[in-house]
Amino acid sequence: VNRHLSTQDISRCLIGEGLQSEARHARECAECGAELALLETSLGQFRHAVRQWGERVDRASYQPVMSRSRLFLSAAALDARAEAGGGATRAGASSLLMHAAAVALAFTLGSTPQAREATRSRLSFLTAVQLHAPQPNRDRAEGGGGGGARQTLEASRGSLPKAAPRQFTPPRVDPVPAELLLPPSLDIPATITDLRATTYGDPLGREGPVSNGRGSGGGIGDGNRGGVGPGTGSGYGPGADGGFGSGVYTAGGSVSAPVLLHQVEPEYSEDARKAKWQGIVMLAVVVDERGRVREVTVVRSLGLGLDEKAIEAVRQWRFRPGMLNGSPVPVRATVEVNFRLL
Amino acid sequence: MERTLTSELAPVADPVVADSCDNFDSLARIHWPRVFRFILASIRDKDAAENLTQDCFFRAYRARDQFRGASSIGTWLMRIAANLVRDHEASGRVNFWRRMRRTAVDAKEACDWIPDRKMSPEDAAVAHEQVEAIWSVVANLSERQRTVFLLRFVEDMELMEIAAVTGMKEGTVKVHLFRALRAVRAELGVTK
Repeated sequence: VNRHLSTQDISRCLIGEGLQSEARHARECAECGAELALLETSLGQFRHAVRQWGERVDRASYQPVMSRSRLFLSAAALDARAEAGGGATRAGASSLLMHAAAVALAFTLGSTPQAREATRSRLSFLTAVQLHAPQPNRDRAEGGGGGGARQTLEASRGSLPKAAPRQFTPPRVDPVPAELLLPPSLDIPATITDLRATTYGDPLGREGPVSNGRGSGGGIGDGNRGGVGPGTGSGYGPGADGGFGSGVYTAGGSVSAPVLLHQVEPEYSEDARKAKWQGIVMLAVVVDERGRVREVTVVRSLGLGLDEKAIEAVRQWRFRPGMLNGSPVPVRATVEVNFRLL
Repeated sequence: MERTLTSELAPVADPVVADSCDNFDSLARIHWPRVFRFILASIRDKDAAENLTQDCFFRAYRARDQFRGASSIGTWLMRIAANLVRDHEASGRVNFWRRMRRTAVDAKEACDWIPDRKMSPEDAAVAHEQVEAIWSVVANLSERQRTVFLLRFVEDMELMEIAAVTGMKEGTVKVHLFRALRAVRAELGVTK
């Protein structure tokens, strides 16, 4: 009884396996009793702390949307189904299949003519921000302009002058003092978007030293007659006359001729069939940059409704567009449509 | 010392794990907090503890046919939990940085508890220090010692139950407990 408790004894008391004599000693001996009490209270506090923590965390994290066993049941059911159905391989295969189907569907829907047209119109709307070159008016093949001052450098970059119904003063990159002050103008549609540059120039020109371009007749660019751009006239663009257009080229020289890709046979009109009417309709067309036929005019008529049938058929033809320097350009072409009764 | 109502004394759980959903639900409701608390204290990582607890009950659910009623359900669940903790420790050993981070965060939270209201502020501060000291000891114990220590002093299990849970002999359990207690004594500054 007089002997103090060893570490082992105290531990034994703590885990509830202490002998009676040890317990008695702990009660009587102040030193051993204090030690045992300290350990006991500490462990009690520890237990209290852990339990509080566990409860707090569990309460915070568990929101009973579904009872726990339902979760297990569904998990177990899924597990069983996966095992029965061949597991991950099958799931992966079906997933792949579904994704492929979804992608294919997206592509199919996206490549319909309507969708493409919609996308294109959306994109051309976006080009208004001048990230792109301004696109010429596609409805009219005419229009354009060009100028220059026979300088050696290409025209420098800049903004277009304002639009005016009639041009009096061609623009210059380096304005010269004039007796009669008329602001330079261009005969262009006012809808053309423009650079926010402080000097005049060609929006498609290059940054660099000031130059009016290599053309002639005033204006800016490689063309002549006072416009801006490589064309002829007082507008802007590669075409002729006022407005903004790409102009129409004629095959020959560096412009390649359009190549027929898809041909639609014309129908015979009822009248012509009855009259056993045969011959050739000659049409003048413009094959645009996209290989479509536009601006069909009859050069040699055949009559009896065959001209209309020929135009109807030719409008559906598709060409590989004529090329100039590697980029497609609208090209004027003549098409013969042969009507022959077999 | 207060005693908790362990599953040994609680008559709610049928020895045969019930097949039906409702019975398993009540079983989960009774045992969940305890299993979760044990795993949380063992690995001190909230998210992992939740996962492991879920895992524990899921395993129990799947293996319910193999439960022979040799021990109580609580012991059986604890045994699954202890195995899961051991596997987790073994797999997470390489994950050094994660362990560092979560011990830093969650350990701080673990010490953030509220002692009895009756305590004076001084006593509360002392109690806080003691708990912190024991936590640091627990963190440094080996996996077996910690499991045994937590089962005995937090879950209030009998030595026999601990032996059943850990699959050790009673003597081995005692040895582990003694070593853990010696470390606690050293940390608390009790010297003799």
